[in-house]
Formats: sequence, structure tokens, C-alpha cells
Amino acid sequence: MMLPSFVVFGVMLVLLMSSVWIGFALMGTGAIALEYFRDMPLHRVLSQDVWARITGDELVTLPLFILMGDILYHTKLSESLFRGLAPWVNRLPGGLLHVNVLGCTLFAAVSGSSAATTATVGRMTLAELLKRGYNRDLSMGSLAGAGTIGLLIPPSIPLVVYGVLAEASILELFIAGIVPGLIVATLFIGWIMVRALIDPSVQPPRAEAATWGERFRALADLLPVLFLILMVIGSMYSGIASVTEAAAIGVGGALVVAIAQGTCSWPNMKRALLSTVRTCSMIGLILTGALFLGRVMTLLGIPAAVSAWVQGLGLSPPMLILILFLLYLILGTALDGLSAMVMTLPVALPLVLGAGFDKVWFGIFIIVTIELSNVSPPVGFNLFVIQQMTGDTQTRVALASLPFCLLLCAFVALMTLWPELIAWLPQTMKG
Amino acid sequence: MKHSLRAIARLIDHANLVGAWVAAGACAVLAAMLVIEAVSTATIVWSQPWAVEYASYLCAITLFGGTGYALRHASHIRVEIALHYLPRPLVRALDFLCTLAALAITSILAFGLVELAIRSFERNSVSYYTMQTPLGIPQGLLAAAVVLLALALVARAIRLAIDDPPDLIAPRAAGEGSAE
Repeated sequence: MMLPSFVVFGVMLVLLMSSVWIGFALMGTGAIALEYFRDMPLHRVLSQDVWARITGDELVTLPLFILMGDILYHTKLSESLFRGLAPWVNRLPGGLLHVNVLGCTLFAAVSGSSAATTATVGRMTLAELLKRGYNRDLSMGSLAGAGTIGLLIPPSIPLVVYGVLAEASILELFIAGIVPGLIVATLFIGWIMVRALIDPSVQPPRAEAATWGERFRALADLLPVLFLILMVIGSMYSGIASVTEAAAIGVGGALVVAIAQGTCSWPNMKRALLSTVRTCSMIGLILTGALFLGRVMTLLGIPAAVSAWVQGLGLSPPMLILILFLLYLILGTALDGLSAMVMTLPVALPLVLGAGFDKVWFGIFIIVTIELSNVSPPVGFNLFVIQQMTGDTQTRVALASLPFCLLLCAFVALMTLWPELIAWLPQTMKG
Repeated sequence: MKHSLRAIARLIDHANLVGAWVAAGACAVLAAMLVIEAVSTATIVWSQPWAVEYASYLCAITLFGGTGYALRHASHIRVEIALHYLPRPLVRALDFLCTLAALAITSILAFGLVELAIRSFERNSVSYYTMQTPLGIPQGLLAAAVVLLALALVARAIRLAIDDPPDLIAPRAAGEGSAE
């Protein structure tokens, strides 16, 4: 069993490092392994596998959540969020920096992408924070960190991809992401407060507190995002709609918001649709390659062989998780998180399940590690987004994000020591 | 010669743009159909008998119809370390080989999908859903999408061979069109 494993990993490494597109590299690795080790008609196995997997019910959610995010990207939701949240936080230590975290947390509930969350919220907050004299590094770092919450709080595109690959309930994964998302947001808010208390110069002299009347009037600006949260998450968790229908309702809601804010123009819709097509194509190709390679690996018995080898090492479950965590951090320096996840899952998932963790827990673990790769150089999406907004170097943005990366690492330790943090809400909602 | 090759590559681009718009249309129809499904089942307790089946076909078209267009716009992800550090002539050679490798695997997939669609037509295979849709139709559409991707790779190989820029990198707003 070791020869197929070496051939598969060797071919994959050569194709990836030669810069073959990831989807093609995964598909090509599977094709070479199948040709070499099994006497099967490659074109038939490949085409039937692609047809069967790509028309699966569970994938339907994916383009809809992507389209919803792309429509919202062209609305004025970021301005509404800023106006709605600012009066509530301007007297707290750290002041308006909290708008980054709270804005991203709220926007995460209507967007499945971390980069889109960072860009949409940051488009308004970064300029305002820098204009008002807030510390540049803390403004950029808090936005990069908070943007990652977009992957944890449902809807989350990587969680949908994980659910498809791991054959886990997407609804259960969505429910499981809520508590970790809120804990991470609380950690970020706590850190901003501590920084502001230690070094008051990170924020300008405190503004006059808003009156309660002003605060409640400002809530009206949060209505569009609350309306969308109610439509998507409300319809899903109340059982009125399936996850797929909730995604479609979200697209409808996003259109309503766009119409209400006067941004539903043909150029905006055209941009949103073509952007959705590009993203869907990118994910579709990677997913197809990963699903095919996963099937070939199972046919060749590779996951079982690697699992048996790792079990022979006698690693404790926390040690296994630590090794996987370090592996994903290393992979994150060369690959985007989504690719790292789809490539490693066929082997990593059986290992983790064998160590006593469940699919939902591992789903959240892997999403947090993806978040880390989003804020670590050289391929961190969020760093790239902020770099484009501010014109700062990637090194500066990465250093500014470092405290928030460390908080994410601390959260991984927390969830490994107390897996109940993840399991509690899904189990409670199941009754 | 170069002029003719450029014309062929441009023609392929146009075909892929059509593919992208078909994918965009499929995505819009998918959303509209499922909104109607959610509303009609919740209000008048009526479910479209075709919704589940056609949703999966529309999803497949959305995911694959624009892959060639996405390739032209450099939207597919690759590890770019080698491309960053090698000298330019080697980068072009490596990029050309990568394109050929991708073309080889795409051609196998396209051949398999075309054969699958033809077999379904010949055997009159229909779906197991209530609509009993002839499977050759959605399979043919998916095959067409993968053929378009193969053509986009041919166009890319042509551009690399005649030293034209292989990708069209339009300036995109930060965060737009990202899955992460």
C-alpha cells in the first residue's frame, strides 16, 4: 500500500510545484494513479464521477451564497453598518475600532467569504478610522482579523465545500460555526480594549458620547443587514426553508436591499453575475479534482494505509491535532486555505475520526486554520485586500495582523481542549 | 500566421464569454426557481416537481459553463512560486507545459462526457425523478462546457506560443469574487 501513496503524493507535489492549476493537478494525479495501478477505462471513470458529483443536491447552495455576497458587495451596506454601530461603541476603550469587529461579525451572517467581508466592511471603516487618527496598525490588523469571522459564522462557502467533501450535514456545520464565531469576535474585541487601555494613543481623544436617542435612531441603519440575517439564518433555523432554499431567499433579499439602496443597476448586476461565475468556476474545478482524487485514493486504499501508519506512531489526539495544525500552517504559506483543505481532507479526515473527533468538530477546526492562512503571508487573501485599500506593504499588514493570528491560535487550543465549545449548540438545537 | 492564430484565440474567447453568460443565466434561474419553491411550499403548499432535479443541472452549468472564461481572466488558483522565481523564457516554457498538461486531462474528461451524453441519447436514458428528463440533454450541456474549457486551454497555448499575454487580468475590486 505504500507505493500508491508515494506515487500519489509525489505526482501531486510535482504537478502543484510546476504551477499546474490546482483543480487540474488533483484531477491529473488521480488520472495517473488510476492508469498506473488499476485497469479501468480512465475517461469513463472520470466522466461518470464528475457527472455524479457535480449534480449532487448539496452543491446547489454554493453558487447561491456566492451570488448573494457578490450582489451585496455592490450595495451601500458598509456605510449602513458604520452609521448603525458607531454611536454604540465610540465611548468604549478602542472606540470605533470595534466597528471593524462588530461590522464583520454582522456582515459575516450574510456573506460566506472572508475576503468579501473584509473588503465590504473595510471599504468604509478603514478610511474613517485613519481619517479620525486611530492607530494605523491596529485599524488594519483588527480588520484583517475580524474579516476571518466571515468563514465561521454561517453562511460560509468553505464550510459548504467541507460538508460536500466530508459528507457532513451543512446545516449542522452552520449551527456549529456560530459559537466559535462569537468567541473569536469576543477575543478580538477584548484585545482591542486591552491595547487601548495599555496605550491610549491608539485612539484619538474620546468623542462625546451619543445620546440614547441617537443610538436607537442609528439602529435603523442596521435594518438592511438584520433583514437579511432574518431571511437567511432565520428561515434556515426555523425550518421554514432548507439550506438551499435559504440561500436562494438570501439572493432575493440581497436584491431587495440593492433595490432599496438604489444600487440595483445593470452594470452592478452584470459585475456581480460574472464575478459569481468566476468564483464558481474556480471552486468547481478544484472541487471536481478533489472529489475525483479522493475517490481514486479510496480505491487504492491510501487513506486506510496512512491512517494505519499514523496510528502505529501512537500519537495522542491533541498531538495529532497539533501536527495537523502545523501542517496546515506550512501549507498556508504556499496555498490558499480552500485548496489546502480539499487536497488533504481524504487523508486527514479518517485520521481525525480515528482519533475520536467528529466531522463537525474537524470542520470548524479546519475553517479556523483556513482563517489563519487568510491572514498570513504570502497568500493571505485578507492581507491582499487590505494592501489594495491602504497601499501598505504586505509585511506591515501581516505584522499588524499578528496579534489577531495569535488569538486564532489560542482559540484552536481552546477548542481542542474543550470540544464541547463546538458540539454544544448543534446538540442543544437537535434536542 | 500570427494574425490567424490571434483570430482563432479571439474566436475561442467569444465562445467562452457566451459560456460564461449561460452560466450566469443558469445561476439567476436557479435562484429564481428556488425562491419560488420556498415561497410556494410555505404559502400554498405546492412544490414544483422539477425543482430538485433541475436545480442540480443548473448548478452544474453554473459551476462549469464559465470555466474557460475564468481561465482567460486568471481566476483559477495555482501555486505560483516557480513562476515568480524562474527567468522569463523559462516561465513561458513552464506555463506552456502546464497548459498542455491541463489540456490533456481536460480532453480526457471532455471525451468521456461527450461519450456519456451520446450513450444516454442512444439508450434513451432518462432521470429517475418524476420529470424523467432525457439525461443526454444536461450531460450534453456539461460536455459542451468542458469542451469550451479545452478550447480556452488551446487559446492559451496559442498565446504563449506566439508570445502574447496568456491571461486577461482586468482590475478587480478587492474582495470581489473571492471564495475565502
